Amino acid sequence: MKFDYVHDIQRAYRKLIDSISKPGTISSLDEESRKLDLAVSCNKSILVLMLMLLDTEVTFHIAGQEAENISRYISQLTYSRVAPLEEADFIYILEDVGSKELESAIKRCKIGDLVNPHLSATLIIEVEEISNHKDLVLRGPGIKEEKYISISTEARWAALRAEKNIEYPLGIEMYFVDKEHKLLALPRTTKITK
Amino acid sequence: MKSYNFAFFDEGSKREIRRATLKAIALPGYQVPFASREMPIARGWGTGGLQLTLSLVGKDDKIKVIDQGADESVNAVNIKKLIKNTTDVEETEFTEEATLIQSRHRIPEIELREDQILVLQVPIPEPLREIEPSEYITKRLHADKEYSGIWLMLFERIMKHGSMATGADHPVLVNNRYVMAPSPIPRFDNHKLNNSKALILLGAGREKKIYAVPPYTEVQSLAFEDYPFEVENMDDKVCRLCGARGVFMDELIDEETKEKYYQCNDVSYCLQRLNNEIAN
Repeated sequence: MKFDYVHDIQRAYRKLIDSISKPGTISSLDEESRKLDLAVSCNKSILVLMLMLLDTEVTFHIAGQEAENISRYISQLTYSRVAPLEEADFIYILEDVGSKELESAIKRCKIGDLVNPHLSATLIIEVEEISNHKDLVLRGPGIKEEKYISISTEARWAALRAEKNIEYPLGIEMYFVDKEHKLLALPRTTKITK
Repeated sequence: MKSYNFAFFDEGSKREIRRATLKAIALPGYQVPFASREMPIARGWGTGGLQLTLSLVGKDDKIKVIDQGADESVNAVNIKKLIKNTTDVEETEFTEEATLIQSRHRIPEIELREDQILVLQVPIPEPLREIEPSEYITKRLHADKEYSGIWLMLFERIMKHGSMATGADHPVLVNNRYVMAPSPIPRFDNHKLNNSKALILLGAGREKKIYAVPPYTEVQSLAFEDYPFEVENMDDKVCRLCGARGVFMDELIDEETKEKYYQCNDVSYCLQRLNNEIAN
C-alpha cells in the first residue's frame, strides 16, 4: 500500500493529539510510516512528523549525521525553510548525533515570550526505545494521577527540560520517536520526577 | 462535492490549524492565533469549531454536531451536511457513539470519555474583551496574569445586581494560569470542564483563535469566597417528556394554558431516556 498524504497524515495527527493531550500515552506510527517510501535515509516516523508539520510558513532544523542531505530533501518536498537551531520552529534530532547534541539543542532552542508563548520550539527526538516502564514519573494536565515512562538515552534531557520550562508559560514541547515507530509527546505542562 | 479535497480544506490549511491546535493543548487556556479560513458558512455561525473539526476528522470517525443541545436545529444540520458531503463519515446522535462532537454552547449530559474529542464553537474567545477593547493590551494582560479587571467587573455586578449575573460564558481559570472564556455554555456546564476525561478544543473563526482544555486539567469558575460560583438551579425542575431531573432544562410556555413547563435541553439525552436506551 502506498502512503496516503491525506489519510495517513490525518491518522498520525490524531495519534499525536492523543499522545500530547494525555502525556505518557505511547502511540504507534508503525502502520503509517511503513507505507512511506521516500528517497532519503531517516527514521520513517520522523519523516511522517515532517510531512505533518512542515510547510512554507514554518522553519525547521535537523541535527544528525545526514542532516544536510535530509534537510535539502525535506525543504524541496515541503517548501519549509531551514533555520539555525536558535530560531527554528521544529527541531528534529536524530539518534546518530549523540547525547551532547540533544543537550545543546534543549539549551539553545527558543521558548517564546510571555505575550506569544506559542512561538516556541517543538523538539522531535529519535531514540532507541520508549516504554511505560517505571523510570520517570509524569504529572500535570492530561494525566489522571501519574504516568510512567522510560526513554533510552544517555542525555540529561529531563533536567535540562525542567530548567528550560521553569518560567511557565514559556517552554518547549518534546516529541520522542523510537526505532519501532512508537511516539510519546511531552507538552511543557508535564512535570517529570524520578 | 467530489471536487473538494477530503474534509473540504486543502492540506496546507489543515496543517496550519493542526500546528495551532498542538500548541494550544500544550498551553491550556491560552488563545493561539491562527489564520482562520473563509468558510462556506458565515463567520459567527461556528466556523472556528468547523475548522477544528475538519482538521481532525478522518474516515473512521463518527461525528455528532449539536446546537444548544439539539442535533436537528439548522446550524447543526448544515454543519453536519458540509462535513458529511466532503468526508462521507458516519453521523450519530448518540453521545456515547460519537468519536468527535462539535457543539454550540452545550456540553452533553452524558459524561464524555477519554477517546472522545469535544469541539466548542466560540463567538468571543477573549474573556477580558468587555473590560479592554484592545487586543494588543489584552494579550499583555494575559502575559502578566493581570486579571484584576475581570475580578472588578464581577465585583461591580455583585454591587449592582446582588449576584455575578453572568448568564452563560462565566469566565474560568485554567490550570491556575490563564483566565479563559468557556464559550457561552450555561454555568451549569462549567464543572464539566474541570478534570474532563475528554479533550476539549475551542475554536473562534471570526476572532481567529484556537484554545484547549486537555483532559484531567483543573478548571475553576471565577468566584469570591463570600459569593461562591452558582449554577442555574435545576433541582425542582422535571422534564415534561422523560421525567429527568438534575439536567439542564429549557423553560417553555404552553400556548393554550399559558403554563410554564420544562424539557431537557440535550435532545438526544431526552430521546434516549424515552426509548429506554439509557438508565432512567
